[in-house]
Amino acid sequence: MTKQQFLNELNRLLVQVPEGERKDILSDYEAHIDSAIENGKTEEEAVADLGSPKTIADELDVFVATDKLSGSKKETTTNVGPNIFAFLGMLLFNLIFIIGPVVGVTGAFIGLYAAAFACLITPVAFIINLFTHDTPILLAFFLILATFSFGYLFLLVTNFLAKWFLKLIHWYWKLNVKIVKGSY
Amino acid sequence: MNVQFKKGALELCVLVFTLKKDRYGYELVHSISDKIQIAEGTVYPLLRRLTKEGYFATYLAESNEGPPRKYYQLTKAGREYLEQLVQEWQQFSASVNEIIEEGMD
Repeated sequence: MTKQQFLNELNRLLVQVPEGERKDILSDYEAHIDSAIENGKTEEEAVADLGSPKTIADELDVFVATDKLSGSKKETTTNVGPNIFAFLGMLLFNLIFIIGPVVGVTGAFIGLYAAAFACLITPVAFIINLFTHDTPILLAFFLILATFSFGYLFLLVTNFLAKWFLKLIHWYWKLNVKIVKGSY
Repeated sequence: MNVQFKKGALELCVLVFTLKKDRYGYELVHSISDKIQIAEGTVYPLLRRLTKEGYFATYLAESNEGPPRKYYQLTKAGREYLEQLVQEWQQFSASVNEIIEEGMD
């Protein structure tokens, strides 16, 4: 692994660490690798001696996690265990109000994806058409370009929306967990 | 070697190495990995934690080659913590040695 690969990998593994601290951590390793090279190691050796980014991230994570744990303990010492009433309440609320729309929107997304896919494969039909019928080649070309571009844009937009939808669901799920755990 | 065991010992070594002189990261890590087989990268999280806990203060100082280096300086709290660790270590290793000697007779 090269220095840059190592740093990139570590950076990726530490996404949840605040930017400032993450940069600080990475600069420690960068300086270390540079010093090791100055002292006669190859880049490859210097990186290998550090161990895997995963091991390092795990090691750092332990401290992050325990910091959080000791912090949250202070806040919620009066709260013992998850709240069963909150859980049942949320369950009922979700069954009545949330499940329906979520299933509906998910269905809509499946439809949108199908439509985008259909647009994307339409050019195939035009190409076949070109061979079987006497379609003017310029017309066929523009039709192919148009349907394909449209399908591609359609796919991008759907992807974008789907991402937000997933984020929303994720956020809502975390909210549920928080409520049940009683930290709200 | 047992991982938890090694971690405790590593903490002790890192603190000892900074007792007489402030050290920069590579120097510190290298002096340990010279004697004990470790993944060098795992020392930095330890340094970070010890700094967060107030046992180390860090500062940047110019170096002859390359960019400025981050130096680790043992604080008063760090010194006290080190003394306590050394004492615990000596008691512990004395007991283990005793057990070994009795058991291997």
